[in-house]
Amino acid sequence: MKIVGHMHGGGCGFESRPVRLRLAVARLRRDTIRRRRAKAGFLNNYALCLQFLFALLGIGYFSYNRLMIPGYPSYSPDSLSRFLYISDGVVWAVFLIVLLIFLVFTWILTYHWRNYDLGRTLMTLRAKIVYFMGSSVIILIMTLSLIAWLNK
Amino acid sequence: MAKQIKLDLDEKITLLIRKHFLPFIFEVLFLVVLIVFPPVLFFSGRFIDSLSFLSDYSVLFIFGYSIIILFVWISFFIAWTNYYLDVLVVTNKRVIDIEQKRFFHRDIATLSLDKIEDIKVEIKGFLATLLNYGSLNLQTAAESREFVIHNIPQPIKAKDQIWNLHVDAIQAPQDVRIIQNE
Repeated sequence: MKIVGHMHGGGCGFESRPVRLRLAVARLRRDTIRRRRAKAGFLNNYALCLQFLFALLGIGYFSYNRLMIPGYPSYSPDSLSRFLYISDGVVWAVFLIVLLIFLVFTWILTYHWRNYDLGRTLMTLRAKIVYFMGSSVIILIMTLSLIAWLNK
Repeated sequence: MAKQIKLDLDEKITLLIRKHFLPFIFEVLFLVVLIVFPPVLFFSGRFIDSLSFLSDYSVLFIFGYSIIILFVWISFFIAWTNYYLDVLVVTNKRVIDIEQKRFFHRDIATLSLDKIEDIKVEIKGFLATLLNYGSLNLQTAAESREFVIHNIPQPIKAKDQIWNLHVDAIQAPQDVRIIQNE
C-alpha cells in the first residue's frame, strides 16, 4: 500500500492535501478541456458535415466516372437520363421547397436585425440591401434555369 | 438602443466593442469550398465530352448550382448575423456582454464596474499577435464565474479603458442613506 502525503484523521476516506490539490488540478484541466470542446463544437460539426459531404461526393464521382457499372458503361446524356430520371414535378417541388426555406430564413434574419441591432442601424440596412440584391439575382438565375429545363 | 438593454438615467455608453473579423472569416471560409467544388466536379467529369455547354443537363446543373449558391448566401448571412450581434457594451456603470450563440439563443451578462478586481488580457497565437486581437478576462471578488470575452480587437486598449472606468466608478461618491430608528 502506498501512502501519499499526510493522512487526516486516520481514516482512509480522507485525501491528503497534495492529493486534494492534484485532484483539483485534474478537475480544472478536465473542465478546461470540456469548455474548449464546447467552444469548438460548432466548428467541428461543420467540419464533420463537410467531410461527410466530400466523402459522398467523392464516392459518387468515383463510381460515376471510374467504375464500370453494368448497364451504365458510357457517359452519354442518354445513359445519364436512364440512370437518373428527373421529372418536371420533382424540379418544381425542389424549387418551391427552396423558396420556402429561403423565405423562412429571410424572416429569421430580418427579425434578428430588426430587434437585436445595437444602434448602428446603417450597417444592418446595408446588410439588408446586399442580402436582398444577391438573393434576387440567385433566385432569378434559378427561375430562368427552371424555365429552360421545363421548355427543353 | 435595442430593447434588451435598459440604461439608467445617468448611465452613458462609453465603449461598444465588436469581435474581431478574422474568426468570422475562418468560420465562413468553408463556404468558398462549397462554391468552388460543384463546378470543378461537373466540368472535370468525363461526360463533359459528350455534353455541349447548353444542353439539358447543363441547365439542370445551373439550377442545382444556384440552389447551392443560395444556401451558401444564406449561411454567410447567418454567420455574419451571429458575428455582428456579439457586442461588448461598456457604460460608466457596468460591462454588458451580449453573445449571440445562434438563432434564438442569446446570452446577456452584466457586471458592475466597481465589482471588477482584476483584468487579464490574453493574446494567443501568431495571427492574434499580428492582428492584435485576443480575450479579455474580467475577474470579480464574488464566487461567480469569471467574465470572459473572446476575440476582441485591441484588447490591451480595451483593458485600459475599462480599468479607467472602474477606477472612476470606485472613486465616484456613493449614495448613502441613513435611517434613524425612532
